[in-house]
Amino acid sequence: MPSEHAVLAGFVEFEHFRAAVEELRATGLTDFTLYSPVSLKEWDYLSPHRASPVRLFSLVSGFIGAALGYLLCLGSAFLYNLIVGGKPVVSWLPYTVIAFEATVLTSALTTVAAVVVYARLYPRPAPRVYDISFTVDQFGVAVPCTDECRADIVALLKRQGATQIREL
Amino acid sequence: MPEFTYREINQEIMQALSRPTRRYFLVLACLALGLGAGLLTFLYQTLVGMGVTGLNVPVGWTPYITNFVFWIGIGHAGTLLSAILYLFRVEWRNAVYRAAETMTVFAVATAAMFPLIHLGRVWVFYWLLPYPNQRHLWPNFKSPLMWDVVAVTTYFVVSVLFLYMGLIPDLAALRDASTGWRKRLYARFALGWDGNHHQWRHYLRAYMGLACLATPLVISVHSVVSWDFAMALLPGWHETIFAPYFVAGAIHSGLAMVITLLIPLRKILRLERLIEVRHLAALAGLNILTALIIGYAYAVEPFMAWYSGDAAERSYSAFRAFGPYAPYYWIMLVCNVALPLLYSFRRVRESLPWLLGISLLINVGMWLERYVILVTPLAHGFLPSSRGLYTPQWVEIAISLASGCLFLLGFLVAVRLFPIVAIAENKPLPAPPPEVV
Repeated sequence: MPSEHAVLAGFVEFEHFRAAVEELRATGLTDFTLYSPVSLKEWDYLSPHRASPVRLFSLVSGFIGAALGYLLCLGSAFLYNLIVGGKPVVSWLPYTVIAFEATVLTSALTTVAAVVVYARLYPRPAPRVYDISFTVDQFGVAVPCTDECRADIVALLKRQGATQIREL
Repeated sequence: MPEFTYREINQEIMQALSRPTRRYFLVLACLALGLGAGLLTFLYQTLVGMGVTGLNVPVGWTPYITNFVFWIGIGHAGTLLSAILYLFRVEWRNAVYRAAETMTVFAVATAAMFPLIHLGRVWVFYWLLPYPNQRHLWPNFKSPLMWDVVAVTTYFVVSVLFLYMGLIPDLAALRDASTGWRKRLYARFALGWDGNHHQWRHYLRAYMGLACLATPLVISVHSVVSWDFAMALLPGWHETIFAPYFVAGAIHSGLAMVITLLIPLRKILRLERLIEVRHLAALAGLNILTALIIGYAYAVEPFMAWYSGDAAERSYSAFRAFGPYAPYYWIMLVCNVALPLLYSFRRVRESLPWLLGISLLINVGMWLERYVILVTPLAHGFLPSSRGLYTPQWVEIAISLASGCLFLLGFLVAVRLFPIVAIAENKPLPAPPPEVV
């Protein structure tokens, strides 16, 4: 939240929340934060953003994991040759099992690391602009504002049926 | 699910985390006692040697490996319910998947112990890990046993990550509703989640990504376990059907275990309104499918022995069905194939006593299946000179029972600390606006 002041509103009804967000956007405000107790399908509609880059990390790290899996097997085979019956030292098919598992493992770990970084997930004190009802039953919107426009925003949110409004 | 408000869902699930009764602690104490007895037995086995078990030539691979395969199989339901049904957008999954995921983590952890117990010289287990060492030895990655190490480790890590990712929004709800040490615990694990749209956007993408990764993983893990056997040339093990047969069997036993655990749990934790009989009936419906798949595999095995004309295969097939281990084989067939088909009747599927009884018997049958798969081929090799019977000793029995205590102990502690039913995902989503649809 770049501004020091903000208005925080909670909505019990999703329809009211959506209408409030649409009106905020219609007034030209886009720098607001939305809160929800459930995963909504309409995040992109309510707050258009670029697609999350997390999946890119999953994909790229998957390829890296596969390469590392093969390298591990190849390295082990060359460092400790077990030549049985004149068969070649390297055998791709069994190494593919290891490469597959390494793909999944690396990709899963990187996916979680990526979401931790991008969603800023780390233990910290409760943020100033937050209400515990946002993990229970209310949809929230936090709008950064200056002293001049605060009254207008409060009026807008009240008009759209906000059940609680806090000026921070 | 009956009509709940969002607040009621929070309250309904959080009341299950309230202070447990004395009976709960009594059960925990009994399980800890059983586990302790198992640990002492393991210590005895380690000090005296593997000779205290019934393992010998030619049967040197059971029952620790039986337990390993059994517990890995139990762990399959969690990922099936959480990942595969998530990708298919199956609505009833929300009520049961968290319990199944929790079960998965403890089942896989229990399973992972058994190869170490089976090693005998457990103190050299790190030889299985690939790292530069003074011995100049590297593991052989052509060996299915090494595939197992990698596959089970991967499965455990991904299962834990998947469980934890799903828990994060719920941990934040618990953090906001708790006090004291619980608040500190949940605050630490909730990782500052406040449910803002940036977090949800990245979180949903990551959760979907993990589901996509976990789906092939669940298929691969038990396939790899099956290749421990199928890569050998022994009659009864060297079969191409083993991978799908093992995967279906794993899901079969995992689903049965979820039903077995959820029936008493929903009563004890007063979650009947969230985990309804219809959810259990849906799990039973999946059990019908898996019973048919493994029934087909059971039928294919003797058919291929006959059709191939291979004398060793035919001899083994007859040994399994009519030899000294025949009772286990026939009990296994009844428990794993015939009984689950009773779920086809709605009255059976929706009756809790029937569900509990059949799911328990499926678990018995699935353990016996692994026992039969392990013991009978080893006991009846190619040549009469390489044949011999196996009888379990008290050491294996005690350690096997202790593994059940460990699993239940971990699971019961977890269900009192973390929500066993997903909070955020059980809240019905508001209807999206026409622009989104």
